Amino acid sequence: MKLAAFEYHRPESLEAALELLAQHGDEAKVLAGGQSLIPLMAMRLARPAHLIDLARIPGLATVSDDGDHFHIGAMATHRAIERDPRMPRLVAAAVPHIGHFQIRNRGTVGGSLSHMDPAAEWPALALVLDAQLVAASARGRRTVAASDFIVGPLMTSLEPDELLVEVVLPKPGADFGFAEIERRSGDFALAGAACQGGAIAVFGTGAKPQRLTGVEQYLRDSGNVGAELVALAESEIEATGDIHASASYRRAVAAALVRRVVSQRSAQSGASAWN
Amino acid sequence: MELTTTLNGRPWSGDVPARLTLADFLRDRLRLTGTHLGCEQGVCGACTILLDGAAVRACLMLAVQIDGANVITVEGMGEPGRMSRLQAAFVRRRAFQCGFCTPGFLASADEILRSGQRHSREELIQLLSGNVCRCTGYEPIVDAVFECQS
Amino acid sequence: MSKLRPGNAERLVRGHGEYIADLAPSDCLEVCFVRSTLASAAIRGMVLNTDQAMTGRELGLQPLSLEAHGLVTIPWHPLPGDRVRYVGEPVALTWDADRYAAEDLADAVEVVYAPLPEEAPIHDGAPDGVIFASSFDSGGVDEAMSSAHRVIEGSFRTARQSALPLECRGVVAEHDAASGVTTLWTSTQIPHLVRRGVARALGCPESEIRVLVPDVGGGFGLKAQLFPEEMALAALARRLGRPVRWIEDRRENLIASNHAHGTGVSMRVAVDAAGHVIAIDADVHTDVGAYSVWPFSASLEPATAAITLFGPYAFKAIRFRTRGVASNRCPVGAYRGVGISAGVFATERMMDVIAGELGLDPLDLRRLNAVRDLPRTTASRRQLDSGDYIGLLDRLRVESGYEELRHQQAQRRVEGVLVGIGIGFFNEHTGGGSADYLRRGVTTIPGKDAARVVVTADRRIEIYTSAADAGQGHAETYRALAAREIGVRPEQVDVIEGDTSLCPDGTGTFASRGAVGVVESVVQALRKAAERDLAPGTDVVHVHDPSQAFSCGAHLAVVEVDPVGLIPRVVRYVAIEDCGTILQSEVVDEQVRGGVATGVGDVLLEEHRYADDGQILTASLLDYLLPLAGDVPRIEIHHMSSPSPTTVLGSKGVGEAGTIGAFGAIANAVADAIRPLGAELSDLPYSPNRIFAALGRPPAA
Repeated sequence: MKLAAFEYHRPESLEAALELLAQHGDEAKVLAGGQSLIPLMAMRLARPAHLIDLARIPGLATVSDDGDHFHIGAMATHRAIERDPRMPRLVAAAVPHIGHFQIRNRGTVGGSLSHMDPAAEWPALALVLDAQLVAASARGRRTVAASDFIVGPLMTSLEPDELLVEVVLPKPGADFGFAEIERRSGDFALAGAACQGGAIAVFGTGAKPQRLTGVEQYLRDSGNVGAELVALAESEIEATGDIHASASYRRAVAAALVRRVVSQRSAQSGASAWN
Repeated sequence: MELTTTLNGRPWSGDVPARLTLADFLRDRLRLTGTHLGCEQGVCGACTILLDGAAVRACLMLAVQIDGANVITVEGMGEPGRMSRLQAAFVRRRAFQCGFCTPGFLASADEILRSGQRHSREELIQLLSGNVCRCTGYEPIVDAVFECQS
Repeated sequence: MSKLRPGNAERLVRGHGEYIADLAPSDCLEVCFVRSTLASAAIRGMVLNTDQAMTGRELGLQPLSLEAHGLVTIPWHPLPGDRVRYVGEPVALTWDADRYAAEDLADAVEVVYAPLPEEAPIHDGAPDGVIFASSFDSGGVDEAMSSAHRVIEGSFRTARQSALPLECRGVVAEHDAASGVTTLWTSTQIPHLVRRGVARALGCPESEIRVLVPDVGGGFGLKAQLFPEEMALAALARRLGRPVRWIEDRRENLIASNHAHGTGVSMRVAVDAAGHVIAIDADVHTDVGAYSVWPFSASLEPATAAITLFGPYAFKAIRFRTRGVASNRCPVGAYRGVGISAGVFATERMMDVIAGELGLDPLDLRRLNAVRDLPRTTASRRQLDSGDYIGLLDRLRVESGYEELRHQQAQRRVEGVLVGIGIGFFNEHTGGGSADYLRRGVTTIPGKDAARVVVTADRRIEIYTSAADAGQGHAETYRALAAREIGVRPEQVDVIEGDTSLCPDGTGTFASRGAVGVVESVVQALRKAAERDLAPGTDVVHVHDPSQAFSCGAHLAVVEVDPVGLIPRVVRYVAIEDCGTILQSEVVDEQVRGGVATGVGDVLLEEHRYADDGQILTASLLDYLLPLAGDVPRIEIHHMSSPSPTTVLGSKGVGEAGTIGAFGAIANAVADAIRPLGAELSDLPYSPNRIFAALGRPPAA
């Protein structure tokens, strides 16, 4: 299990990195924290001809606050986010579930979102927090809503010559909920749910994290957190199974977690009404 | 690629292939074989080392990525002729049998202990869940780390 | 090798262990194996595309075969050239200066596969796929069934698993043209048997092969088999005249070393009105994978499972049929507990089913049925040498606070908590000599253990044995024995295992035989040396052919199942252990604790899965789940001692006991936790997914 050969680049500026991506496009992979990419390359499931290491690019890991939004640089590590007291409470609740601390020491927000594992936490957070994702290329910058950015399992709307550089989060209110079921501490989610304000998403259930717009509408209409909510969530959740859990399991458990996170959210002091 | 780094307190400079992992660089190039490979996928934790004080998987890094950084492996723990306090606790508590997982646990525990925080036993169990042991059933490992918290 | 001097612990904790991957002779070439990507196919041809590659034919490897009663003899080609039988089977090898480059070369090798006819059996000699079959009938089963108060049925299956030591396998081979000797360092539990098998595969005398065992990062039975890679590296070293090295990676380890367990037991059990088990009629079936493993043969799992059914219980009659059926999957060998795990799992689950059917308390039912008045020969002809089974169960009741546990369980159930209590009561044959293997027709395992004691010029005591340490404290145990037997200080004693030139020939380390035959050999050799006044130059050997000594235990687990995710968690574990005379108490406790942790994985987490086309789905540790620190509770260990009359000190094996007991206790606790919801569990592992399937939905949704 040793990596196949590649040409290694360590650009010292974003422009240089984008130039390399423009040149090599789909023959290149970007190295951020490497926690997802290196194992794939070690198993030779990924064999990029070019590897572009972002480590030397200044300013990509900065986390700043412009009053209304957090600007999280793509190279910010999960560990830095975990330790940042400014982060929204939903983020603070979710990030410790990302692998183990050794993984969080290297893994990055941008890496997690670009990799788009359906059982990962960040894509679901991006959905419920209405994140805007900033993609840069030699052709310029564009901002993509999380729901457009997330295409499918391990698939985003990034073009081959694009790089995710920043995640912009509107500052949310205090009313959140988060719950995840993992088989062992640090495992990928068997099912998970996140709630922020009136937005609810499940993850670990299917091909990609999913906003439950039907459930959201039901709550705006009725505000009821009971068996009917769970049944509605179950009917809305699109689930697929694998060797760890069947689709039925994921759907049923995720629906139960939806009720849990909705209850958590409602129990926060200062929680707004559903409508 | 050119690489300049500090390893167990000593400067090192040289040329390494870009695709050489940090784990293989330590083991095969430098003959620091105390860092072990159990899965090469970042799951088992046997290859955990300290990079600028942070516990990381050496199998999930390329050697070239430690350029300019400070790396400590198990060989750099304690002094010549004297084990570190944690290593001595591991021996006293019989926190290993085959010894293969031990260097990885020592690196993870080093970061945990250096935070200065006093964790409950349950919290420590969670924190130590990033390292696999097949021999001990974990209890003596948790005891050894717990004992060193003060 | 493995000169285990005092101070070994410090050496390991400082990172100065010398495991197989740490050995790098100068001028050494790194080997990579080309492995089948298909589960079943004919090989039409191979294009190597490099000079630095060889096939099995070019290496000149002879096929090996095995014999055992009931076994179809089928040839095993280490690197076959005609067809492949499982994904990952090695078919060729490449070499280069490092593993990266060797893998590049392996990538460029083209193997041309062709489909086999649909009906083609895996082995020509076994047209129906059955490569092992046996049966036993004590007589009286049918009468007991027809006159029984109740006949209760149950089916249970252990999962296909991997022993998964943290250290993978590895081989370094070096040939010395002058002496004609090939030296093989290998991470193994069976150095002498590896020498034997390699010599056969190379067609050379055993004296030309020397096997050395470095530090071993765990074995657990995986490393108690002979592997194609060992034979291939030895042959390659002879061909190239340079040292060669192969270090297994985890993917290879998961798909192509050995698997284990995967045994199904279907039973009918006749009981009387009071709950006595009168008779058992059982079918035991194992998917043994593509080949019969060397040296155990495909009889290992199914035969061991069958013979251990209802082991500690006083039944009157038993009849069983076993089948080992070949499949296009990794061959099945040994993993801590082997078939005893399946036998105890099925038995203990069945006892709880019977208890439920008859409205009896599970602990009371076991006490009613436990064998009394040992020694005793059972209806399945096992010679139980010693043990206080009633005492074990009574001690378990006291130490666990059983009545209080049941009371608390009832209260918590009212609160809606899913909590279960499970018992695992078992006996276990440990050791085993030539008679035991010959009775099964197995000629590849000598069954003997041996020790050699040398007194050096400077009065150090050197103990050499036929065993091989993989971390289970051999050196510490022998040093303690030496201190007690001949009055030397432990620091005066060096232990050498794992060198076929220096260590006397024997069976190696498996079946928990260390505390049985190996200890006997060590003690007798020490006594012989003492008879010679420990004079410098003393060099004595003792060979021992052990009888089986039966360890026993009674375990209890408390498991809580979270009502939303259905994750089972062991919250309390009590083990009453009887391994006869305890040689070194810390070592014994470590084995029990580690054994139970293995059992947690076996019952709750570990499982290999294959797709219909034979592709393995669990080729990484993200998919094959191991127990982590949060999965294993503090284990309360209590000892009882029924010394064995068959061993010189009365000791019995304990290396697997923790695991075996857990197969009963943890499995029953999970089943008990969800019993109020009317759900039943049979096949392992008892994962959240299986619990959900049994329940239909999470109860707290």
